[in-house]
Amino acid sequence: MQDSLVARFVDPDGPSGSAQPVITGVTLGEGKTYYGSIRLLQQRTGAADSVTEITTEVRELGTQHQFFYTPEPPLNSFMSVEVTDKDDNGMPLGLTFVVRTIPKISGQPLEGALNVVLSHYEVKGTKNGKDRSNESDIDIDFPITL
Amino acid sequence: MERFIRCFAAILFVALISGAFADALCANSPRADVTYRITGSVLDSATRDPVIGASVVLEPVGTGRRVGKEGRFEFAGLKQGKYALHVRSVGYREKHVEIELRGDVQLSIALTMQAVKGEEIVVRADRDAAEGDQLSEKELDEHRGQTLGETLEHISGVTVLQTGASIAKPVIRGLHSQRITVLNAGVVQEGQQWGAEHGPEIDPFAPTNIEVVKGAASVEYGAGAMGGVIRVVPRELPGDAKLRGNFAINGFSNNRQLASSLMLEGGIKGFGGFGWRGQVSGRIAGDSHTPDRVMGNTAFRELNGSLAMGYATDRYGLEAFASHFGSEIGIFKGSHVGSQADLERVIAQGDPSATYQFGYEINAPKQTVDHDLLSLGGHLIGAIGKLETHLGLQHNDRSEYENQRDPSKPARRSMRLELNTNSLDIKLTHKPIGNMTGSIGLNAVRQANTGDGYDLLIPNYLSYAGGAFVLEQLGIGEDVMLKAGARYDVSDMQVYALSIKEIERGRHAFASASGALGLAWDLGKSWSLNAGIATAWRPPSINELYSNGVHHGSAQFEQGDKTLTSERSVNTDLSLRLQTPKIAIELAGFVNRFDGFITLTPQPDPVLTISGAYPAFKYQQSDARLIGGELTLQYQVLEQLNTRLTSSVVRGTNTDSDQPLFGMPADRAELEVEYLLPDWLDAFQSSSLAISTLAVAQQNNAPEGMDYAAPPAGYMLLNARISTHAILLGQQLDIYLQAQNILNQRYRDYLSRYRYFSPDPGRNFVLRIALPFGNH
Repeated sequence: MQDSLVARFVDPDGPSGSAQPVITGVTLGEGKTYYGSIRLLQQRTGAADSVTEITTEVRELGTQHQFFYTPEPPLNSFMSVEVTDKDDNGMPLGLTFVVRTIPKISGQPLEGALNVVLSHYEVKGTKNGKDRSNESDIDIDFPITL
Repeated sequence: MERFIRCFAAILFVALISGAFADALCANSPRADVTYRITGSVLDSATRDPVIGASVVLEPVGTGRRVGKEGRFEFAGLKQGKYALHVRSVGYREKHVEIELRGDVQLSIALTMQAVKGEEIVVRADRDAAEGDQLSEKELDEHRGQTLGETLEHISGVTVLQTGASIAKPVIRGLHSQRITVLNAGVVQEGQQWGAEHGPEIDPFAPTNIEVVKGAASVEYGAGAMGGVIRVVPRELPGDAKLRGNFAINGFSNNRQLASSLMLEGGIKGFGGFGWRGQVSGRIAGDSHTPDRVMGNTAFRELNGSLAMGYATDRYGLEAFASHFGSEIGIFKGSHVGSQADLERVIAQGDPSATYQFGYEINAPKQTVDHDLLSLGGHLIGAIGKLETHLGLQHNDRSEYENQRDPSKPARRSMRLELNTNSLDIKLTHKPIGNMTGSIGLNAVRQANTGDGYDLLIPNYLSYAGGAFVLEQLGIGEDVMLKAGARYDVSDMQVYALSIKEIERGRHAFASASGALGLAWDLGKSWSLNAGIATAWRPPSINELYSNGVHHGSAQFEQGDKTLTSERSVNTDLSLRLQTPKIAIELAGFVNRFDGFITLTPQPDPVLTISGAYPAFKYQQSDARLIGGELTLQYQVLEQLNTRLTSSVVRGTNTDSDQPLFGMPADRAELEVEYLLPDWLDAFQSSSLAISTLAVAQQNNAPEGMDYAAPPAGYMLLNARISTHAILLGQQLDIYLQAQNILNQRYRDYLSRYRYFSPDPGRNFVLRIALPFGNH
């Protein structure tokens, strides 16, 4: 029986609304390996409420997208994230990833953040697997406690 | 010998006869030291009453007289020769009289009250076209086909807030958008002008006269004319049946643009006093080129048309004007960044990292605008004066398409705004009462805005506004004209803001008085002085009240404030002019004080969205002051060599925080040298060659904490143009060839919305050919 941890970012009225987004993070154990995935959902309210799975769109246009997972200091010394899936050109995509943690020095819980960025590459050929684009569709800091 | 005597007799005879003729002529023709005078009266053509206060200017002497109570004027001490009299008066059509002076002359000049046009009183009545506030016929033709903003850039005090080659918003003395008013065919142009990327929807090819009134003009034009007014006045319709027209074609090298227009005008045979004009124009442009690269997705397209009809007699007139403006504009791909982090990275790079291929395709992000205008006017001249009424109907339809994730799918529309504006203006210009001329008027406006889309910048609203004004001019003696005006306005706006699933109602009502006092003083020896003090106001605009979202391309989260109140200003203006045939000087200065100036102010906490953290800005009110001036010098060095220098400075300060205001134009100066080329082969006439240089300083007065990048460095551009009026095979051809930014200078203008992302466009060659036909 494996534990499942979910971190969420929810913006109830979208980027133009006055309500602030709600971000919930997770607590990770030391010296563990986690297999992760990301889901993107868009909810529309109006005449007909609907929920659209944006993740499929990103997967279909994988050659134009890439997720970057960056643990921020001080967590970066104890946590690493590696992207495991690839797009049609063989370059990393990031819908699935692996998180590895190592034991800390002190026993106190360490608080930090995991920065998640979805880069969009408009012009073909600019995605090289390493560099972020200038068009970030997603840029979120998830609070992580180790 | 006999032959010789006959010849000699013949010569003698001819000599005697010529001598007799010569004597006869000499009796009337003056010797060098005898002088003559021109006297006359200026009367109203309908009532034969004297037109008090009319200005009579004698060229080439360059002096003027103002007609007094009797309607009389006099010029004395004139030598024989050719003269021209220019007679002008507020509310009347200008008259020009050519005189071949060989003796004392007495004239009776009849002026007709303005017909066919529903034109407003030009309050500063004695302004000359050459003084720079009105573009001359020649200047207009040189710029025909460019956006309104670009055309006006050459008037001192006017700069441009630019978003690429197709969106250029005029800035008058540092103020723009909802702080200036654009009048098109007598109707105030309403097209979401609060948006920095929303350019005025005016056909660049329409045959119009363009006039700029700098400074507060709320008394005449209502709320919103705090910085000035740009009047785009369609030229008078023809009064006869002759078919005339103009075909023009322009090419621009920088974005491989082709623009063309066809205009036809005429009347109906046997139906004198009736005129019509039809016009259609279009533009298609590809991506712009900076000195280094192609600016991706900056192509645009435009299709416009208009139809005008009018009938006028000396006593009344009716006119209808209908126009359509349609455009599709690509927004520079490199300007569409995600978060603040992205923007900072782009600025550090200095130029978009992607290389774009040139093309004419317009993809998302893009905007489409359709603007329809119907203006109906009528006037009646009676014993009391002239009554004018004007009805305006406008529909502005603006859509924005956001960046596409999947280019194979059609572009998704993120926002659509439809703005319907109906206006009614009634004005009575009374016949002169003693030395006083003037008018009283009423305006009413109804405006409805409805929006659609998931990224709405502003909510729906319905607003009503009305105003009444009185404006009088009094002539004192021959040299002084006083003006005074007062106005009262009310406005009421009901807002329906959608918040998740609820509608939030808001109501904003304002009322305000405005006033103006002015003085025009003919100091003699061709000097004149204009001074004025005027108040202006405007209610807060919908975006200032209700914005709540990220402004694309600026990576700023803008928040409105529903509690904002109206902005008020007091503007003091002074200008000194010299106008002689060889030299013209204008020195103007102004101080514009604002109470409740609405501006974006940085907030301490950023706003979080899915694409990152954005610095938050909120619309707040404070006291502000704008101070500045312009200097224009024109000097005719030789008969064929003219020089012209225009320069302007503006300093804007938030007087509460003592910080400079954001987005003020930098100091600038433009110097032009024009050489009139001699006619060539009889076929090429009125040719000229001009070289000009524009120098713009770095904006060193910018507020702290409000900008991602420091204002760009100053720059200098070199431009040239050559023009001629050719007659080839009986057809007149006006040809203009211009080279802009000849040295392909790499620069960024502080007022360019793309300055974070890219340098401004590089070298541009422009070829304009106009074919007037039917004898203009």
